[in-house]
Amino acid sequence: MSTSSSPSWVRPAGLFIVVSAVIYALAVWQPFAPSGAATADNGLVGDPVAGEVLFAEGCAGCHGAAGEGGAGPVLQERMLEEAAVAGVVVNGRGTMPAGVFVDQDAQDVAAFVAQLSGGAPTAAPADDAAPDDGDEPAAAGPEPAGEATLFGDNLWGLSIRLDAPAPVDWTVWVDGSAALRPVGLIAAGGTALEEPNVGPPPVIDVYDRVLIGVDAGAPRLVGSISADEAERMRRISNADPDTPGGVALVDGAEADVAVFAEHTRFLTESVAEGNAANLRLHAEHLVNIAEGEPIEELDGDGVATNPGDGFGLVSGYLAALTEDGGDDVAGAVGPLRDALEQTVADARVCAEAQSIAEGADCAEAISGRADAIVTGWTATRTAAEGSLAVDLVEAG
Amino acid sequence: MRPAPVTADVASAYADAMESVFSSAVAGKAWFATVAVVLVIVQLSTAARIFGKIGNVLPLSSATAAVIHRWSGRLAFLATLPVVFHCVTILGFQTTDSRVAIHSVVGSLFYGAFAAKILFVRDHRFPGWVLPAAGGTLAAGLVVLWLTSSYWYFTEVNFGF
Repeated sequence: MSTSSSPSWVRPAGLFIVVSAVIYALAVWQPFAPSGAATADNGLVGDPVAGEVLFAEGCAGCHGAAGEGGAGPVLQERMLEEAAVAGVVVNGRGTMPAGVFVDQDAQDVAAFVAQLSGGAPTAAPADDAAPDDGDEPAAAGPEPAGEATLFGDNLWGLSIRLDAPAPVDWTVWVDGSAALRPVGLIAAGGTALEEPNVGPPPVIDVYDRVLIGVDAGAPRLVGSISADEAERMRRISNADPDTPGGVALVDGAEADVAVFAEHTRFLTESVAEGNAANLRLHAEHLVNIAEGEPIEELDGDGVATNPGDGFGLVSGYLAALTEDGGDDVAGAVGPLRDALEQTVADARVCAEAQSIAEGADCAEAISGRADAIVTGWTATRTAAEGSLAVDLVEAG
Repeated sequence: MRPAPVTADVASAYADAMESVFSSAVAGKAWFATVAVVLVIVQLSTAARIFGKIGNVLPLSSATAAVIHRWSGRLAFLATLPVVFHCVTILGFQTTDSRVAIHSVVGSLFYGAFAAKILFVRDHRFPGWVLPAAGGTLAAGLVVLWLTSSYWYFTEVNFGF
């Protein structure tokens, strides 16, 4: 027989509240934050810009010019607090001597290290990232400018070209509202970085800035990808919500080009087989692939058919690519569009041919342009995908 | 102006110990939390078996499942200790962004939920749904903590030791 069949919820609720409160109190107190008192006690405010110079002089020899480590521990990605760092700088730790810097200098170095460790995820340090790179302070010398270029499929690649050598080891990041991602390192004295695959996801879907420097929180160079440019390239290379299935313009167009080429072959085979009905049918297909919705009934069988996706190779995809792609794309699209429009005109003739003899000339003309259309599309795709270049300018 | 020697020594000793194995204390913390999350999967599986479920995919007797459940729970608890030491006593309660804020709030409540769950295990007078609800909540909390820390670290900072 149970002596107390009704349990009390007070005990578990009280236990939950008390233990949670104790943990919260400890978290607020932070009893083992190494120098929790440093800032509060000395009342100093660190200057990370001044600290960067001091770091290069007194710390980079062990910790690396970009905090990537060496004889001393890695400082990148450590998410250190300024107060904690200041305490270590003043008091030393392990093999690190006390008093490397004191007072305001210590606070300045701590401010820089805190920035470096919190905002600068690790990038693979170059093998030759020698500690003596730190002999040249990052603030010394003219600031290089340059260009950042997104390239390749889906613009997953990123190349950096600087106009002048990097004064110290510089990390390159791509930055967006929701993510910061290290791409690579430009070693001191270097001027270039080539990373063929930053993604996935496509850079322009997530990131809108390229940052270069020692600390992502205080970059030296910034390249901004405008929203309009990103949207334009996204429609071309990644996804266009206006197309069937939301496919990218180049992908949708390429699929339609393939279908167009396939039905050109079917039309040619119809002539060889002496099948006038199929000649008319595939001619109707060519017209509808090129012109999209609304599809037309041309071959007289009473049914309008379209093996394309309905967007229209000429009226949809090439028109959109011309609008979004700029002058280079317009120049490449021109010959392709001409060839397609002439083929459509011939296909309209073939669609009404009542015999093979009547459709022989139009079919021959269509067949004769097949290779030119494929070649024209290749040139168009190359021009459309191209790349997206942004200027790198000194961070304000 | 100088930090208290004892607390500085504790933090330094902890950091040195972690860095003797991992590239940084943060990396070590991420891996300890990952171990705990993996053990939570064991916890959920064996708990289901104890309650007579998933016998077809986990052919263990309830008694064996109970032993595994207890020991995986103890190991998971141990794996969280360096994590909570670092998070609570060194980093502290922070709200610098939504990820950190969520992590801080859920982390503050986690051991309270753990203590309550242990009480439910030992006191059999509560309704039958209470224990699985408490265990499920605890597991969900740990997953949230892992997603807002280790997962973030592995995907945004560095996947490595």
